[in-house]
Order: sequence, then C-alpha cells, then structure tokens
Amino acid sequence: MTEILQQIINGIAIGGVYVLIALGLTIVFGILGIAHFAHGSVSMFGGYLTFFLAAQHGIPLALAITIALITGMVLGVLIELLAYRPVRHANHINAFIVALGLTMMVEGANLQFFGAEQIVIPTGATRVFSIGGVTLPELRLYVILAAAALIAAMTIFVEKTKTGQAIRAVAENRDAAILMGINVQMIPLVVFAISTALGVAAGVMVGSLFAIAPGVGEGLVVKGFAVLILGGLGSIPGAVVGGIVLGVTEALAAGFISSAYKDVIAFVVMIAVLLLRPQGLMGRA
Amino acid sequence: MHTDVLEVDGLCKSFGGVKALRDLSFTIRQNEVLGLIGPNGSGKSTTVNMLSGAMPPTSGQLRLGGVRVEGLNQWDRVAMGLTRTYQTASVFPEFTVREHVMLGCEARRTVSPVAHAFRLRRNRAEDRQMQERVDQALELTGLTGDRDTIVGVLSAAQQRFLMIATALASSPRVILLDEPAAGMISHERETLAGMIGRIRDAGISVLVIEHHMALIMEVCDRIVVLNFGAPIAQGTPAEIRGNRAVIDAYLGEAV
Repeated sequence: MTEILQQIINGIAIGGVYVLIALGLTIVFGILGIAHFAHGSVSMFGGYLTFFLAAQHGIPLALAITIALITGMVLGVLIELLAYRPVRHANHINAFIVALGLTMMVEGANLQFFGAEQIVIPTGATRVFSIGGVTLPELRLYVILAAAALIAAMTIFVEKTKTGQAIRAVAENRDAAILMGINVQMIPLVVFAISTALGVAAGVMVGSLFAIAPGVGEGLVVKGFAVLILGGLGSIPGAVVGGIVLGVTEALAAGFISSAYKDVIAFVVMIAVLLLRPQGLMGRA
Repeated sequence: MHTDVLEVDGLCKSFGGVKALRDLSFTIRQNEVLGLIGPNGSGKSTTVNMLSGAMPPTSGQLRLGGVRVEGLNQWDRVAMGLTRTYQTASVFPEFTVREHVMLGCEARRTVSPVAHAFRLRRNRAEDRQMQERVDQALELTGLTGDRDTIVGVLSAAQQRFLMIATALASSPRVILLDEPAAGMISHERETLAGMIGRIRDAGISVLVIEHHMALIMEVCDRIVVLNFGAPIAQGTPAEIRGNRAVIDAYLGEAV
C-alpha cells in the first residue's frame, strides 16, 4: 500500500509537468487548430536558459526562472507572428510543415547555444520528507506545488478574466467573437505567450527533476499530445486530468512492472481509453 | 432630408486576375433598408465582406458617418457602429438568450475591465444602459419571451434572429444582413420582414443581401443590383421590377 502511494506521488510530479505541456498545446490547438510540435523544444530552451543563467552565471535561481519565463513569452509572440501567422489562411498542411521546421530550428538552436551535454538545473533542494513511510523529496514537492499553482492561475485566467473569456469565445466561434468586438488578431499572440511560458515552466521542472539533453523536448511533446488525446482535444480540464492519469500510470508501470515498459503501458492505457471514450476523458461527444 | 450613414465609393476587388467587383458605389441613408441583389457569383458576398472588414478592398473608399473605415479591422468597425450577421447562425449554444445578447454589448463597453472592478458608479451606469440595449434588441427581434431559453435548443430560424439581436446590442448605425432568410419557411420569413421594418424604425440602417425576391421587394426602400461584379441598376423596388437590364440578368419575366 505504501509503495502504491509512493508511486502515485512520483506520478503526480511528472503528471504535473505533462499537464503544463498539454495546457500549452491545448490552448494553441483550441484557438488556431495548429499542432504546435515545436512546443517541447521551446520548453527545453527555457530549461537550458535557466541552467545557463543560474549555473553558469550565478544568477539566483528564482530570478533566472523569471527571466526564462519572460523570454518564453516574447518567444511565443514571435513564433506566432513570424512562423504561424503567415500560413494562417493557407491549407492546414502548411502550418504542419512550419511546425516541423520550427522544431528542427529550435532543436538546432538549443544544440548550438547550449551544447550536446546533458544538463541538470541545480536547485539546492535536497531535503527529503517522510510521511508515514512515503518519501517525498523537497524538489518533487515544489514541482507539484508550482504546477498546481500554475494550473490554478491558468484556470482562473481563462474562466474569470475578460481576456480569458475572449480566448474561449474565439476558440468556439471566431465569427461570433468578432461581433462582440473581440480583437481576434491579438488573441493568438496572448495565447502563444501564455502557452510558451507554461512550456518554459515545464522545461525548468524537467531540467531540475530529471535532466535536459537533445531530443528530450521532442519526447515530451509526444507525451503532451498523448495527454491531449487522452483528455479531449482543446479541453483544459481534459489536459489536467489526462496529464495526471498519464503521469501516475507511467509511475505505477515503472514501479510494479518495469521502467523499460513505462511508455508502452502509458500508451496502452491511452489506446484503451480511446476505445471506450473516443472523444477523450473530458471531451464532448 | 436624408443623411448618408454609409457611403461606398468606387469599391473594387480583384482576386489575382479575376475582378470580383468593379467600381461599386452606393450610399445607405439613415432609416433606410437597402437591398443588394444579383445572381450567384455577382459579388454580393464579396461586397458585404469588404463592408464588414473581413477582407480588404483592392481600391475604393468606405465612409461611416463621414469617417473613412476601409483600413479598419472588423472589430473596430463593430465598435464604431458597423456590424453584420452571417449566412449561418454563428452563436454560442450554452448561454441563455439574454446572456448571449448581453455579449453583443461588450463591443461597445467604454469602461475598461480594471475600471469595471473598481469604479463602481460609472460602471453601474454603463451596466444599466447595457440592460436597456439588451431589452430593446430582444424586443426588436421578438425574442423577449425566450430570454431565459438556452441558445442551443432554439430553432435554426430563432438562432438567426438571435444573431441579429446580438449584433443589435452593439448599438450599430448600420447592420449588414447576409442572406438572413436562407432556409427559412414562409411564416419565419414574415417574422423576419417585420423585424427588419422595426429595426429601420428604431433608427438603424439595414443592408440586406437576399435571394428571396418577395422579401426583398417587401422590406427594401431601395435596391442595388449586381451582375458579374458590376452594378447594373439602383432604385426603388418598383423601378427595379420594371428595369429591363435587371429582368434580363436576374429577375426574369415572372416577377
């Protein structure tokens, strides 16, 4: 029982990372219908940048993360303006090709700027808490709390603020949104800024919990899309539930079967869910 | 004495080598219903898309109350009082009718969201005005009795009326109706005709694109006829009905 609890807690930490990646992908998909494949690589850029600032230039970690988040927002705006906006009215395959090209560009830039070495962001959070036989490393606790705070902030933003409501309106019906005076050219910029900032946060978490190396971002974006499909495309609650389910399933599989099979088992669960609920866990039928 | 609310001056649109619209000029006056008719492919939809700002004109000018608007975005035009509806009902299904119409008011909100949270008095005054606009829009479109109904359960025709009501809530000076009667049965068309008359009487100018000639002849004060991207006639319904060029191009002898 303790071991199951232990694996569930491990799974929630990585699940939180998946949720952040998936939230970024789902709001972009909801607004623009774009599968933004470069998201994982951009997230890793955020992780690398944080490492570069904190470990190599001695900038305090909190400040380094803040700089990385702001850089991420600017980068997100530029990606929308320069990469996706020009193919906005073209066939969807064009945006798809742009997304693949952008992935290669960002991966290449990461390699060029930060090298091929595996890096771990030093956090100094090394304490380990023990609650009734279940161990919880300090760092994992921070990741869970930070992910929860970001998910809550994102939910409040989308549900309660005017801009958040405008984003949902555009996602649902762009034409009707225009009649309400919504600036539909501004919305994609806001969406990309938020999406990329969430991605950077996830990149920092991956970089401090595990490690960042070339190719990690691409793997992460595949997991992100798996979460989207699991939870229901374009659904924010779906991304949250799907991310946690995927994280916990992986952790249980790694703990009780074999860590070599964790991806296989996670995707088997995904396929099983889709057989029973093709619209995803929280998707609309 | 008529005042010109919307002036269209030498509007042209080319798609590559195809001239979809050539030198279209007309004005919509205050308290006027203007019909825009013509065969399929004559440039009606292109015209309404350029008037609303969905696509830029290749050349030509557009003035709303004397102010040039051809370079403005759609949402800015809505905020200035030039709104439209679409051929298919573009509505949000999960709101109530009243909430949905309220959304239309947002286009004209002058109090910023921050002020909305703090400056209570001004904000309350604006909210009151918005309530009045919603009530008026519901009344004009005959939806007052359905104000608490969920949008998703309305009939297709009622959803189109709701789209008109939502557009009216932005207190427009001109409303562009893009084929409002498409797919409607006769009593729904009658309701629509009455509605268009009431909208005009409320001081809002209406441009209506429509294929249903009986409706056009009934509700319009003046009509502009397009054929192959060029205007071929303008005049009152009686003049248009008797116009040889229009009969040959579009109406046929039966009308």
